[in-house]
Amino acid sequence: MNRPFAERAHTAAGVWDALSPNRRLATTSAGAEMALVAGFLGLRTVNVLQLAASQPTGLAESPHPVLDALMVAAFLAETLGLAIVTLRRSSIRLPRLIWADVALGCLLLLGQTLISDSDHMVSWNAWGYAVTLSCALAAGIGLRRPAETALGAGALMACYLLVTLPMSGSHEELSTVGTNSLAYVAFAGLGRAMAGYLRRLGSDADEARQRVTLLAVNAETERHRGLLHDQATILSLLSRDVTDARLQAALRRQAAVGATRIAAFMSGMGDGSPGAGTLGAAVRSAVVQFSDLPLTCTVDLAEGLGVTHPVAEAVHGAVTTLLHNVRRHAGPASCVVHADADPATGWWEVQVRDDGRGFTPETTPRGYGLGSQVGAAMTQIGVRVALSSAPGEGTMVTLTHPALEQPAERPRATPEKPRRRSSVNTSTMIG
Amino acid sequence: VTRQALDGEEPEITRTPQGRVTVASVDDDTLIREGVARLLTGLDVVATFPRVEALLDALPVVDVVLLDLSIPAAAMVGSASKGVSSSQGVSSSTGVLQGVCGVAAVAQAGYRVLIYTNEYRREVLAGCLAAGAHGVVHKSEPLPAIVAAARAVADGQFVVTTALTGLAEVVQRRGSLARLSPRQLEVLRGRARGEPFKSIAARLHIAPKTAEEYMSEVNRRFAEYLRDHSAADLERLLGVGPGDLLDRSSTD
Repeated sequence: MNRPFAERAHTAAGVWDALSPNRRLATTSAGAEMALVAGFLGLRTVNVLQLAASQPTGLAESPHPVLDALMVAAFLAETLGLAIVTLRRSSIRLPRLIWADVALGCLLLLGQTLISDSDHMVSWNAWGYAVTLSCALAAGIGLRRPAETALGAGALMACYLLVTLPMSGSHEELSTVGTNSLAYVAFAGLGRAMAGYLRRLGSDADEARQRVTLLAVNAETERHRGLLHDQATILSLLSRDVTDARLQAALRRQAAVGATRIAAFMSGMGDGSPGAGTLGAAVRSAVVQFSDLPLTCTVDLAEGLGVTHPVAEAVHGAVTTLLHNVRRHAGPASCVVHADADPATGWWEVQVRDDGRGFTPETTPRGYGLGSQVGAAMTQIGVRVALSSAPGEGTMVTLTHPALEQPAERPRATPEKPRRRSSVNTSTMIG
Repeated sequence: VTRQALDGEEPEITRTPQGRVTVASVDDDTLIREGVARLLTGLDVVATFPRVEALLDALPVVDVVLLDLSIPAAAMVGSASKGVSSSQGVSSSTGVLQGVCGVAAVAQAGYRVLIYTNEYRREVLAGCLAAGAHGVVHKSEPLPAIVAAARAVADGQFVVTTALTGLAEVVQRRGSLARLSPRQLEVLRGRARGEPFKSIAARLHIAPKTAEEYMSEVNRRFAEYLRDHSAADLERLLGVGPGDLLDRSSTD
């Protein structure tokens, strides 16, 4: 049976992923460093392979084949040592080794006069130039300061010029020597620039991961706190000797709902908050938990406004928290939850008002519920929260989502925007 | 002292000084009847009745009838529904005058009716306004609020609950209420959100009494709307009619 092309392609891509060093290198600061090590050792491996291919001829033509072989051996040994150390340290930022590499490169260049004919100083027979370019690259990616890189590359270039210039008579030879010498600067400079960029990418990736982790931890903590804050209120009330039958019944219902939410939360299925629907439904779903309160809930005007799941969840949570506060602190004779909306512009408003004890907003610190579960949660979805309260005059919290756009023609039945409350109470903004 | 009318007995109706609001209370609960007579010190409760039929038999001269909506058949023990014509309507389920039928009967007898109830379903309360009630006040309200509501009704004003005010706002927003002035709209908006008259008055730089009068006018127009429209019209307006967009019963 022929497998579909897509399936075969997927398998091939998987094999390639497994083999590709790029895929196996972590996209972190350490991964970037290992990429630099791999790049350098890759270039050095190419040097070694080229050297191996040219050596039989090179040794045959060399005036000092023994010295030539010793120099090659020194280069191979130094390369092997460099490879072992850099791989073990997972880094090429090893200044002593790099300086040693540069020094060996300089020696190899200076030694070229002994192992090559003057005619072959710019050919592969004088292999020092080809292999010492990787020394310049090492100076670029392995030394810490730009001046050190410049010094390393300069030394290599100087040695190369010292050896080749005296033997270059023609204009073409001088041009070739000059061009070749610039390659040291290019390898060192470009290597340094690329290494710097890669390291910065790795560092930024690390920082971003740390930030994301921190945010995730904070978000998880907030979710826990958000879930547990209201449950703590219910448990606190349940622990008291509540004699009111309606409050008892309401608390039991909410405790059951809370238990379900916690179980759902722990099983990773979310916390059972309402899904997308209308604004009115989101408010109603919160209000039904508080049948023990003297509540009046009017949300007809918000039944026509559809809201997304996050908004519904945030509004449900905010209204629930506000009503918990009313139950716990206000002792009201009446409490009104009112929702209004203009689907044409996206404007909406939810108001929770009680005629209970009230408080002085300026001197009363916000609890977690009002500060975070209402203030911060609403700010996240672009909703303004206004608090108005005074001792003995109750509390009013207004959640207002601004109009997104003005309709071309305002329908007759659209709501009048509320005037700013200028009562004796104090108005403050939250979030 | 007012003596309440027990089943089978003629109620004693007391005389009160002029200028005081006189009230008759109809409630099947003895404690409520006793409590109303003794605790509403700002009113002169001149007669109490356990059922609507007894009120209509006695026909006391009062400014306001404080009427309970739910009067079960048990309140009829030892008493026949004498003197009640079939045109006044009898609740088919209980055989006694109660609910909307009771409101209609008392209103048709020429009384200003203030519903005094534990009923919170606003559609039911709206039906009572449509049947001729001048106001609704809940039994859970503080006593001064009940006294104030009775005085307002005696004064010819309409008094409704916050829930009904919210309903009035919906009707207004849907364009079905007679045109309101900007001030009336502001007062309606504030009351629908539970704002006290004192706060509204301070916000609009008017006297609290003026704010109450604005609201009374809105309530009067709302009651007119309810009388002129059926319950089905209201359901359609709210979008909760059978099969309508907000009909939740179809999905339950």
